[in-house]
Amino acid sequence: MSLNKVLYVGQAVADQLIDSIDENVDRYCSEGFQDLAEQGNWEIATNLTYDPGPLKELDPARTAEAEINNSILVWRSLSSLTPSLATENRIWIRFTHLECLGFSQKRWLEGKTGEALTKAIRAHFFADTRTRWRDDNAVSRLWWNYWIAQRLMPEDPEKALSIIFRSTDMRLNTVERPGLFIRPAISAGILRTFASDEWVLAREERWRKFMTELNKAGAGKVFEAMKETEIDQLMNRCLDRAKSALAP
Amino acid sequence: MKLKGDTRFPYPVLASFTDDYPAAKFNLEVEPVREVTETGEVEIRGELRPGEQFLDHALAEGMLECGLYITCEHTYFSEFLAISPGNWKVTVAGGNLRGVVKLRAIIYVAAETLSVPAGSIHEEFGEQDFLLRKYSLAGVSDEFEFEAGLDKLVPMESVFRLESTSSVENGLFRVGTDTQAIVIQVHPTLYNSLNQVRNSGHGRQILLSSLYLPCLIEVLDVASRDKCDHLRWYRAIESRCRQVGVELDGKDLLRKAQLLLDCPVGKVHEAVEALS
Repeated sequence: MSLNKVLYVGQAVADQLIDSIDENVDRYCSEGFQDLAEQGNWEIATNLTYDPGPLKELDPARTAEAEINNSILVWRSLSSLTPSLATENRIWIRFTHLECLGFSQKRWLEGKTGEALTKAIRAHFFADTRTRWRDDNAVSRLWWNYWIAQRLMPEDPEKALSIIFRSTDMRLNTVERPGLFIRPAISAGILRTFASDEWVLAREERWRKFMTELNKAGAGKVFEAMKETEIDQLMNRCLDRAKSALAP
Repeated sequence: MKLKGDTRFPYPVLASFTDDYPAAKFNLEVEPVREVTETGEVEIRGELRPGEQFLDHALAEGMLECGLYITCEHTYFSEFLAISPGNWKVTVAGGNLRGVVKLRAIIYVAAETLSVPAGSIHEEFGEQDFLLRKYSLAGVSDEFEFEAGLDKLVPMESVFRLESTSSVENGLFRVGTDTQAIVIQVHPTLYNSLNQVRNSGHGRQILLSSLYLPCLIEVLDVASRDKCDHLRWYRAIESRCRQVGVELDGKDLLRKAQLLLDCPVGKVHEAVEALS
């Protein structure tokens, strides 16, 4: 396994790329950015390394399975990044415009034209806001998927990914709504409950009922002070109440 | 389960936004946060005083305990760390925080039950002692915010880009805010002379007062009317405003622009002395 330095583009390059999406549409769709990269300021080195191998295996299929596998591949390649560096727009610009350009094109741009195309480029090739690096950028979202999954289920992040990607609604209600889910004591407890009893995952109505019960039972409780077994007991009580409420 | 400034509970909670303990005020004091540049490690120190006789006693007896929520939405960081009442210190390892970090201290019930004397709490809770169960929130502080990471150290003028164009009359300048950096357009002749000033030893101080200060006044006006957080300059100014403690509300622009640029007119004499 040969490791490469994690590189990033200069601020002027990042600004210029965001401001020039329309002029660069052909580069995004086919030609690529090698010519611009050779003009300089695209190769600023961090002191971190990554394995370029797994990034070559990224699958552009628009399926939950591909999303899960791609998240694992990006983590294998870039686990040296810290969360604060994984918010750095200029690192992800480098990856989406050069190393992972082919994957990013096929996954997010194929079949799009006109305004939809430029919107997709702005969303999936840059990572300059929290929602962009966490939810939109073609490569950074995969890194954050795995990082969050690992934080919630350190013993089995792949299981956490399979729950999070069970439906679009599930990712929306977990990863993309950090208000509640950012508290690992609660979110890890929720995922452990779902992993042990998948009844709740079968229908959106069940998931919502479970969350209503949890909001009632958990109000004013300091989950972070509780033992894992105590949290699991509370979650199971909520699950039982949701099941009773929805019983035919 | 969310802790917000307006959350209400059906039992007594010591907080600035409740009057549940009429004779007490829950104070969270935080010292200036220390960041180690080389490692990114963040050290936070402070002082926590419930200032209520019964709660102080219950804390000393271990029936209540304290903790600190540290939350950074940018990096999805959320930790709850036990802290001691009185003076405390916590450390967050490097690489975990960037941007706005929020701190909130709480007190919670650690014993199986805790009977709060009726005399300590508001009369609306009745004449009997009030029973709190284990893990119930007993107190919550106001939120404290700070900005983590090196972004705040980037000089303000880095959000500006000087551009040469013949469409501007020589001697005038024009500001554009539709791009990632704020563009200052000047005639090519002026562009060359400004570059000369910028590259001279103390030229930066002169440009901060004569060029960037008036531009920033204009930019603050734009930023107050339109929240354009898809633009880098806007996010940088928003962050700097938070750091300096000023609102992006379109008021008092001259004063705010001077604060954001660290009072540049007061430093002009240094540049002039160096040039003479």
